[in-house]
Amino acid sequence: MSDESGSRDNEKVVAFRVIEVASLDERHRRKDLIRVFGLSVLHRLAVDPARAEAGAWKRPVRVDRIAPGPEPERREEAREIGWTGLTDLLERCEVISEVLNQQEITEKAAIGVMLLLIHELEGAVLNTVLPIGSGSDYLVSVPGRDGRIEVEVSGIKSGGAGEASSRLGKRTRERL
Amino acid sequence: MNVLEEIDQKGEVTNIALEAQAALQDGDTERSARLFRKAGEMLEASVAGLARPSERDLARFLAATHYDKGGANPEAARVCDRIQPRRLPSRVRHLYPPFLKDVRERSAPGYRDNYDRTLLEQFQFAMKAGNQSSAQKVIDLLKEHPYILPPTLMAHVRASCCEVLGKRRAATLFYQRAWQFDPDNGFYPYAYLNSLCKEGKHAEAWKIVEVQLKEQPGARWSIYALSTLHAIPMSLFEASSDFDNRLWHEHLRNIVFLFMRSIHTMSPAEKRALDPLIDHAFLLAWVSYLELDDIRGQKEVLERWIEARPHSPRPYELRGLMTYPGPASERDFREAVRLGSRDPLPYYFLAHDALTSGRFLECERQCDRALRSVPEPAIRADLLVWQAVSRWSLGRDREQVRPLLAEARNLRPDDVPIAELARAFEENGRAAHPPVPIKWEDDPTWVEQAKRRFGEDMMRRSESERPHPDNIAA
Repeated sequence: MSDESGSRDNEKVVAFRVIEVASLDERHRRKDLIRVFGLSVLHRLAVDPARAEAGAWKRPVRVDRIAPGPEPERREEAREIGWTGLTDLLERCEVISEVLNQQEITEKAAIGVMLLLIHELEGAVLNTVLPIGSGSDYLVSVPGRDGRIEVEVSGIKSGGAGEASSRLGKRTRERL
Repeated sequence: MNVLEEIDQKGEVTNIALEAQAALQDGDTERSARLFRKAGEMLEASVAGLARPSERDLARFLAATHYDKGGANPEAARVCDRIQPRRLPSRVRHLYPPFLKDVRERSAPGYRDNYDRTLLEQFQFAMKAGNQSSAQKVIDLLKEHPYILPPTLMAHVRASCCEVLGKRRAATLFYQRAWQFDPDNGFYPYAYLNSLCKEGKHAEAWKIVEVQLKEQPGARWSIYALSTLHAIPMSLFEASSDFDNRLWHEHLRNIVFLFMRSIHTMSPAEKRALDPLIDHAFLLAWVSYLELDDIRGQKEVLERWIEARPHSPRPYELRGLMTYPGPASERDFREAVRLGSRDPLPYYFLAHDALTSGRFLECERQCDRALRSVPEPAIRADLLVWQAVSRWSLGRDREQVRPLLAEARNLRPDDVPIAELARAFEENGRAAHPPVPIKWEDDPTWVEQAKRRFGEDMMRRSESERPHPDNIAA
C-alpha cells in the first residue's frame, strides 16, 4: 500500500466510501483499537512523515491486493482513509512520538491499516492481536473463510510502492 | 483452531492487552502494569492446555512479553528460564534472543537504580543548561524504560523536556496529564495554564480558570487566575472589540481581592501544595495594584504578604521602595538584607544612602553585594560610579578604581557627571585620595527616576521570574 499518485492499467476507477479510523472499534467489536492502533494510523497519515493540510480529514491510499476467488486477480485500488471526528486523537498525535519510538508507531499504524482494510475488503473480524518480543512485533489472528488465519503485517514509515512491494515479497517468501 | 486461538479463545487476553497498551500510551503506568501482569498470568495459565512443546514455548514467550511490558521483570525472567529457543515456531524464533537480553538486563540487580541515576543526571543537565540533547535522551530513555518513574513524575519530566525541545503543544498536554494523575498537586494546574499561555492559547486558559473559579473560589484558583491574567498580553485585551478598560480593572481588582481574602484561610495541606507559588502570587497582586494606581492596595498587599510569609525578603524590598527615602524605608531594606535578599534593590538604596552620608566603607560593601545580583545596565552604572567614589575616598589602589569608572562610562557614554568624575580621577595623578572629600549630590529627579526604574523592573520580573516546576523536581 502506498500513497503514490499515478494510474496503472488494472486500476479500478470506482468511488469507494472513506474508510474511517473512527470505525475501528466497531468493525472488530473491541474497545481500545482506536486508542492503540488508530492513534498511530492517524499519526502516520496526518502528522509524520507528512503533515496533512489544515482542515483535511482524509488521505488517499493505494491498496495493492490479490482478491481471493476462483481466479485470484491482482489489482490496485485507490482508497481513502479518514479521521473524521477524531479531533482529540489528532491532538494526542502531538505526544505519541514522545512516548513510543518510531518503529513502534510504524508497526502499530500498519496493524491499524490492516485491520481497517481486512474488514472493509474481506469482512474479516479480529480475533487476537498480541505483542511478542521487545520490539514492535505482534501476532495477529483473523478469521478466514475456512477457519482462523494468522496475519503478517509489516510497515515502513516512508518509501515508494517499489519498496513496499519488495518487503511484501520478502515476507511472503519467509512465511510460505 | 490455531495456537493463538487456543491461547486466547474468547479474545479476553487481547482485550486486556489492548487496554494495558492504551494505558501505557497515556502514561498511566500503574494501570498498564496491573493489566499487562494479568494478561501475562492468563497466557502463562494457558500453557498447561497446549499439547506441543513449540506451542507451549510460544505461549511462554507471549506471557514473558506481557510481564516485561508491564515492568514485571522477575516474572518475565522466571518464564524465560523455561523456554527453549529452538522449540519456538520459526516465525518468532528470531525475536527471542534480543528479548531475552532485555529481560536479563531489566531483572538484573541495580537496573532501576542505574537508570534512575542516568535519568536524573540527564534531566538536571537539560533543565540547568537547556541542553536539548540531554532532554531528548531523557525522552528516549523513558520510551524504553517507562516504569522507572511513577506516572505523575514521568508526565512532569516529559513536559519539562518537551519545553526544552521547543515542543510546546506536547509540553502542555503532558502537564495536563500530570495534573490528571495528581489533582491535589498545587503546581500542575499552574504549569498547564502557563504552558497554554505560552502556546498563545490565552482564551482557552482563561476559560478553564473562569469555570474553576466559579466552582472553587478559594486561594488556589485565585492564584492561578492572577497568574493567567498577567500572562495575557494587554494588546490581546485591547484588540477585543468588547474590551472595556474599566471592566478589566474591576475584574483584576476582584481577583486580587479574592486572593487576599482567601490566602489566610488555606488549610496547612493547601499551603504546602501551593507553597512555591504564593510569593509570586503576592507579587502579582502588588503589580496589579500598581497597574491600578492604587497605593493603598499596594500597601495592604505588602502587609498581608509579610504576615503570611515572614521569611520572604520581597515585601520588605517593595515597601522600602514605596516609602523611600526615610527611616522606615531604611528599616525595611535592612530587614530584606537580613532575610537574604538576592535582589539588587535594597543594596542599591542602602549604598546610595551610605554614599551621601559619607559612609564609604558601607557604600562599597553594599555596591559589591548589589553588583553580584546582576542588575540591569542603568542600575549597574550607578553602582559602579558609587563604588568608584567610595574606593577613591577610602584611598584604595587606583587600579581598583579605574576599571569601575571605565565600565560605567561604557554603559553610559553620554553621561556628563560620569565623564567629569573620570577626568578628575585621571587628573589627580598618582594621589590615592581625591583632592577634596567628595560630597555626593544627586540629580534632583534621581529619587523619582530610581523608584520608577525599579518599579518597572519589578513588573518585568513578575513575568520573567515565574516559578517553574523544575525548581522543585530537580
